[in-house]
Amino acid sequence: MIKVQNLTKQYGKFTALKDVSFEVKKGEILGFLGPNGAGKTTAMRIITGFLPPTSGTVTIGDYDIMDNSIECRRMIGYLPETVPLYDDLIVRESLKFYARIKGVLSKDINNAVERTLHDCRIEDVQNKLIRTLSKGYRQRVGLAQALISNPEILILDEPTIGLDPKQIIEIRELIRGFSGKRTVILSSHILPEVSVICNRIAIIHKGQLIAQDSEENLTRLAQKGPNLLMKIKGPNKNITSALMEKNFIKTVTSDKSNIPSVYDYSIVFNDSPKNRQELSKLVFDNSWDLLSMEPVSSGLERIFIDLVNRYEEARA
Amino acid sequence: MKNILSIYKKELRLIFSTWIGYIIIAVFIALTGYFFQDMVDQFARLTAQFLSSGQRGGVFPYNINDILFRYWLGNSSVILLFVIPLLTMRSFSEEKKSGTIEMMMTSPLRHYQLVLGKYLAILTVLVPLIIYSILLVIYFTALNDVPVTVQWGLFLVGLLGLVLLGGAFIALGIFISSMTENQIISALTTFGALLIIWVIGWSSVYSSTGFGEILRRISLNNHYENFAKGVISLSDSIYFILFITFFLILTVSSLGTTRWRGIK
Repeated sequence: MIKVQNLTKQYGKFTALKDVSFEVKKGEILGFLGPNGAGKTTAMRIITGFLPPTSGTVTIGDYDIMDNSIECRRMIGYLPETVPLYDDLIVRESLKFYARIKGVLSKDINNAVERTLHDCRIEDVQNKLIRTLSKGYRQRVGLAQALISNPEILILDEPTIGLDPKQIIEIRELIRGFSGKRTVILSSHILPEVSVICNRIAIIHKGQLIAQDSEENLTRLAQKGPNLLMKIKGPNKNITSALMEKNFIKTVTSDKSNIPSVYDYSIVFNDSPKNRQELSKLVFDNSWDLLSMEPVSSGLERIFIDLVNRYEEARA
Repeated sequence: MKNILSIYKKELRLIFSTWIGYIIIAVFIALTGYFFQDMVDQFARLTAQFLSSGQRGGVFPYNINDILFRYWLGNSSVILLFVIPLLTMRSFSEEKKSGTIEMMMTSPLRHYQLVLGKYLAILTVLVPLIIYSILLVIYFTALNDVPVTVQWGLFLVGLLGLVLLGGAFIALGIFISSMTENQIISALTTFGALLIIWVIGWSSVYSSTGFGEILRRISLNNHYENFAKGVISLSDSIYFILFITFFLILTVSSLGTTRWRGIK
């Protein structure tokens, strides 16, 4: 549905995007992940036709974004990062305006407005002046503007920023509901969000696409860090060797903590079946003190940092 | 056409929901009303002088169109020169500042539709001003039983000139607004540019060179003067139509280059 090929964007001497290629299939939700200034917004602006690329092509459906801009734009609903709104319009008015210029038929406009008001949970502010809305409502009105024409493709730049936790969940549910029906590209710097909503993740760093895959595959790609962190009070050497005896533990590294005779142990498991109770029992049987035990999930956060670090190392 | 209409309605709504439209109409009415009153006084004085000079049997040498309406139209045009930059300053600058231009440029709209919608919306603000001017003259003639004959044709030609002049001001203002995201810069530059085109013919009054003639032809004021006198000529009409078209086309291409340069 969306095909991006060798996209490069230069602002003068600064290269914002370098040779980025990826594809989003119909009904897929792609998460754009990257630190600030990575080039996510630039990429989205090019895909929506707001900025022309320096080189490379973007194809939306069967159309090229530069040659058939109008056809492409008709298929896209876009929420820019800055959430631009007409402050001096009433919410309902603004949605009607966008419905009209997006080409919604006159007889369908009222239905489209009602549906969008409901989906974005902004029915109770529909007659308010946009200027008076809180950040959370503004964000949702922005999302409503993108959704009003029931577009096949949604490009959402940081869609949940500024929302409270409950609203975030609602909006995530809404976007996740599009899976299979609409093609979505969303960017975020909140990693768990991307992992919850998206089928596929593209990690972008310093203008380059450094990885794109499902979360599972990305996890496999990332280096293994510690799986378990333990804080134990007792003789450091004995504890280390006792831990190493367990057949499911691959490596143990220990670090002094800020409490005397208490050490932090970072444990890496191997592939054998793990038994965490056994570890607590071990500590108890030797009458050491277990202060804490904390499993480390191999979350997206770590994958991300890992991939970025590896990328930096490869460049150095 | 539907797109132009949608933009037009939205713009008109914004002009009046921010009060700027009402305020500009009010300022125009207040100032031109004051000038009208002032000129009627002068006219009355001239009439009194004529009556007391003992030429009772003679022909009243003053024509109200010539001595009142023509100057009043001149004054009104100067007031437009002041207020129109304030109307046009927000048209594109505000959209650039708030980022809504990004929504416009990624909507299935052509640039010319955006420009025309905005242009026509601002032009619409002139409608109440013209209606007011006509009402003012009707009121004046109905109130006074002085046997003055208003030559309506001449006055209406003057008003047509005022609309064309306003349309030219707006076209230039929109163009300048499309180049900056700062509304104050937009208003000041528009005002400066309009003033220069307005007065550029003055310096050539005593010049007989070809260059002086060119300046006279460029000057907005020169072409408007003829309309204010009640003279409708092809060359003056073409001048205004070309002026408006030229700046609207420049605006459309300015939007195109904004897209190529990117914003900020």
